[in-house]
Amino acid sequence: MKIIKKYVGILLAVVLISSLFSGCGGNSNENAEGSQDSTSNSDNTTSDDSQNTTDDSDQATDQVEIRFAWWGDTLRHEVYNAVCDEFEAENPDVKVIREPASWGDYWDKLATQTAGMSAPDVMGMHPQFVSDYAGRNSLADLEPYMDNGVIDTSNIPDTIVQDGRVGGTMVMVSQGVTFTNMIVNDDLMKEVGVEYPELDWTWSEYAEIGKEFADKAQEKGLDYIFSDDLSSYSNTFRYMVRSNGQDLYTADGEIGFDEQITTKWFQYWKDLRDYGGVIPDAATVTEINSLPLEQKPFTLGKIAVAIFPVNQLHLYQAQMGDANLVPHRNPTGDDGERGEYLEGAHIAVSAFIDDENKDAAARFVNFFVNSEDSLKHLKMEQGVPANEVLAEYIKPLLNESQQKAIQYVSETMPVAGTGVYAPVGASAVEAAYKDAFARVQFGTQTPEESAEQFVQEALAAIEDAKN
Amino acid sequence: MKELTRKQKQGIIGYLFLSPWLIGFFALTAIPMLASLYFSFSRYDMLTPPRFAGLDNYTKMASDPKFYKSLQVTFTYVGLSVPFVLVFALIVALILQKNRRAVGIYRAIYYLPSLFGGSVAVAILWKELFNKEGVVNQILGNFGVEGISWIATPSTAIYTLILLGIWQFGASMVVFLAALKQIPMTYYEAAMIDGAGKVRRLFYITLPLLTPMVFFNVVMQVISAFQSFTPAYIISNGTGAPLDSTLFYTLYLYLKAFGQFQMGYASALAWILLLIIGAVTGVLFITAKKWVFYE
Repeated sequence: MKIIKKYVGILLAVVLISSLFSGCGGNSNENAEGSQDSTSNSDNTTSDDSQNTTDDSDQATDQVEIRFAWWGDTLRHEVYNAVCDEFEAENPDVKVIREPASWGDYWDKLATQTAGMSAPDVMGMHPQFVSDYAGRNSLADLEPYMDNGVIDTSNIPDTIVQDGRVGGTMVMVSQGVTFTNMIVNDDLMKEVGVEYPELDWTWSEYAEIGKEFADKAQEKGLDYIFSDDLSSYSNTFRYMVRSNGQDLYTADGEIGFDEQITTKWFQYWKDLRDYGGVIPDAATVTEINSLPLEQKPFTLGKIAVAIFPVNQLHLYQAQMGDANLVPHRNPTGDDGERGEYLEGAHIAVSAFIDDENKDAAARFVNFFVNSEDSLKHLKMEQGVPANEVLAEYIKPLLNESQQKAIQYVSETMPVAGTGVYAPVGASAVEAAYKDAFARVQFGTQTPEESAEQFVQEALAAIEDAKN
Repeated sequence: MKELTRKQKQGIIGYLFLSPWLIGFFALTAIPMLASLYFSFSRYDMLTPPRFAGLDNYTKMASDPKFYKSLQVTFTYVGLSVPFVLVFALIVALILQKNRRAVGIYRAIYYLPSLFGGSVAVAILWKELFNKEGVVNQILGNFGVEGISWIATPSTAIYTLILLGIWQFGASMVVFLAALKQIPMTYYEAAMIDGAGKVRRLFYITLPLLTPMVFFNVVMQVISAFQSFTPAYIISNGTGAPLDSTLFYTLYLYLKAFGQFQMGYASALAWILLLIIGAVTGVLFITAKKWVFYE
């Protein structure tokens, strides 16, 4: 009995000590913070472990482990997983640990991980956020790998290669060229009986068509709405600003738009909102912004026009069956001036990893962008592939909606300009924009007041970030 | 090394037993707190080293409208959810104190929400209950009432969160149940002999003798409510939408730290929260002398 007691005692002591190191806050059961803390701690320990094992184990098992993080929905996770599998099959000395997330969660997670210097070795990167990371030296310089051929840029047009240069350093490689433009549910438009131009329309035409849609839908008793409330998207704001000769930011990192144009923008959407039936009301818009792809009203056939990157067309098509979805340009200025600029996701490598991991990561990046085995899965996932040879290669592999998308991108690339990258502090400007449009949507401020406050806050954010 | 006295030996053994907890305390609590205090006086975006900035963060806070908004939202939440939690906990505890058949099952049912109520899953569920197409609106639809989107309308969003907080009254209820059992029957018997009815017994015996537990629950619930984060984050989709009506203090802190790379400012926010909770708790302790009755 004494011996049993002794061993039970030792066992209990071990269990207690190990439970301490799982980092529980030890507070009341309602303290959700405690569980949050323990999750983030365990994330850090896993990544530390993987770093350590690569150092010790590369002599033992010769396998380097790299972590790859990306954003997307379930279909995209399948595609990317397939690419990782192909890479591992061809490179048995590298193991790819996959870390998918949804778009919203991805950036919070990446910021936290980067703060803890445990960012994934390879990560999806986007022009919208790249300045915050590149400007703070958390992305590896890929130029040496391009120079020595590990990352092959011979088949990628130079403009697209240079697109990955931020602040003079080459920090990312394009995953594909795309545009965040409009998609029109042609079936809905026909059902309501509204005509619309085939490829281009102006902002005034857009409003007219919207009102016509609302009137006719009401006559016919159809519960449809014409379009999403596009004042919720800073990207569309940028398009409008660009189609009026300005841009979100200037080349030297200042705000590139003024108060008048912001007021015009908010007023435009306020008029449509007040008209009724053209765009959803404020509460519905707030809800829509948090819904996944499958549940959005556009996917459910309630809204006729939505905006999303055209490479996602096939994802929506998969949810919408036979509906005829037509890619369409964003509205232009009344004089025809355009806002398009080359967009697309990129892929970057963390600056915090050792050289061995960097080599493996660079090889992975090269495989991802330049190999047939990768592109046969990726196809149009992030837009038209940067590698021109492979862009041709995938054409016969595409389904109908992907071919629509690739054709649209090819037609639009010639008329697109280049966008200026956001400076450090852009995230605060984004936050200020979110507040500004919400205030107008809910009617707590007039467009003028909201525009004024937004511009002030944006200027302050950029000033603040310079220090 | 000279021979240790028995007392010293026992002292060392004591510290050895304490050491796991001490290591945890210093590494996971004390040192991070000191680091956060340092960060609160610096500019720190987590990607570059912190730069000392004196009282900048604190002065910025004083002129930050969102700071005040988040304080207002949080105080509303605490001020409304805590009293209701205690009232429901007390009422249900009084009802369930008698050992009738299956009373254990009822107690368990009421206690369950407080175990997992603060979790992500329940928050997501709550969102589905109260959104435009949600269960609540469907039920209202049966009565011919068209419901609005409770979680996306600025004037009602905070109340869905308060409701979620109140739903988790079970933990307080269990504390009251235990306290009720502690009241000696002799008091009730003496009162009944003197002709006191149920209501009198409730207000003159039960409640006064419960006040220590009420005080305990008030303090615990207030501290916990100030720190509430997960439901607000999930239901507002991480933004405090709509129009910052669900911008809890902790959520604002999180957004500043990880959404806008301003960890220095967020650390300052954290310390102010500590001071606020400390002050509120202090006030509660001081006023306790007036209404808490210890035997």
